[in-house]
Amino acid sequence: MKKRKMYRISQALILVSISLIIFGCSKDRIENPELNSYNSPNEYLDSKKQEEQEYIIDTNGTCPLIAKQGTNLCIAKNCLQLQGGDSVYFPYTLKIVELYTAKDLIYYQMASMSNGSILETEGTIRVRTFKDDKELALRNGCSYYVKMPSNAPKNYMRSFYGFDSSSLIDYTDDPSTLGVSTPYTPVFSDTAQGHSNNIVKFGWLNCGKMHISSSTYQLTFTSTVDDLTNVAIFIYLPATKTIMQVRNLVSDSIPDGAEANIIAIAVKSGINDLYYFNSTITVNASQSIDVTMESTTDADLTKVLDNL
Amino acid sequence: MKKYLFVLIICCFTKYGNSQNIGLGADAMYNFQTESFGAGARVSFFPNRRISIVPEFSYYFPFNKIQEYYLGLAIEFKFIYAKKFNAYLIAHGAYNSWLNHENSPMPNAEPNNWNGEIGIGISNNKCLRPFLEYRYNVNFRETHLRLGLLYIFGCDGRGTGGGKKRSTERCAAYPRYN
Repeated sequence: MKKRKMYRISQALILVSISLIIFGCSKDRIENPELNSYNSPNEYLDSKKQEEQEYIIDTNGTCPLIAKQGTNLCIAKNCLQLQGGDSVYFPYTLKIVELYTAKDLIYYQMASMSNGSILETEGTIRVRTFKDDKELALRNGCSYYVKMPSNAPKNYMRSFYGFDSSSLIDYTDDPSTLGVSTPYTPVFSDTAQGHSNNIVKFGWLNCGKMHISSSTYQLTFTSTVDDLTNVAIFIYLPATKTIMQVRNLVSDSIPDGAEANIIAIAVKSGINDLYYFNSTITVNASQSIDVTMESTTDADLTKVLDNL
Repeated sequence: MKKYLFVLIICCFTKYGNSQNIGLGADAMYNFQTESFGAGARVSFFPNRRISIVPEFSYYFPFNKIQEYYLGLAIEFKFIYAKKFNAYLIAHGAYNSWLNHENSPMPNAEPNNWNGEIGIGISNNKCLRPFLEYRYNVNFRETHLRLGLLYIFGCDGRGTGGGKKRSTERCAAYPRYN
């Protein structure tokens, strides 16, 4: 009787052992663990980004046109031209995108960098004009007037013109490098409610100031639990209101001592299945940032971006 | 902890240190998950015919992906005790020194660990006992196979070593005359 009981206990122990062996083995000590994979957050970010506003400009139009977030624009019709130099007749379409907050810059995946250096920025806009779907350009020697709203205007901000560089928007304050010669100063005037200037080229415009530091560091992003391939990583520098987007898991150069707010965003199964990472550090050495994505909601993530 | 283990081994020697109750063995090991080869040494004490107390030392060589050693104590329980072979369950606790932990991709890999193992083994009842064991490491969630030989001291060649009842032992000074 006792012997039989012992055999039953032994059999049960063997069964448990075999189950453990079959289901519980791990190669964690020699192989990289399987990482959480994510999908690109582009669809989510696009769903949240500032719309491109469209205005039909006709003979009844008055100057300035004031866009939704307070950008003032004045464009003289005789300064517009079709490709080939033909004149433009009313009506035509003016399109504008306004990005005045870190949140909007992140949603638009729009960095504020110029030739690898950070731009202190007071706002980014994109102004384009169209005549029947044909994009228009400014005539040589012409400009349009812009006033970008600001609660605390500065007297040193310059017009930085955006241009495509390896599928990114880079900025320069020298429009002659973009084929536009101009007598206008690139420095914005600080007015009571903002920064105003004459702009000589349509497209992206950053009201900014380049910060070149002798001592800079880079952040490298790694994760032991998440595959960061499709994760959008942004760095916000509050002191200069600069947004940096991380490419290939290595940041651009960050000035020594800068406070950096790191935001990483990804989605899993759909735009409602959101993941994020948020960390604030003071950069005083090149360092590796270990990212661990956490599940979040659109409301919570929006709150985080609002507080930047 | 290592000190207590040593004291326990000495106690075992003191208590079970007569012939036929002690065996000395060596084995070769292969860990299936870490793909590592190792070698081990052991002393087996047999307080009775079903239980063995087995202090063990195991070492995985530097050419492996994992280089480490274990110093531990196993309890073996023979659930099949037949004439020609026996099968036993193993419970083993050990200190683990993981010598190349810094090369591992495992997060939080530590050089010093405490490990528990459960397993199953089979051996015969001869003086020189080949044994085969398959064990599961609960801490690292790894399995390994051990193939070894255990020599029983004072064995009479009739397979009586290792836990035979004391009543069968005969004292040379007082032979039994039937």
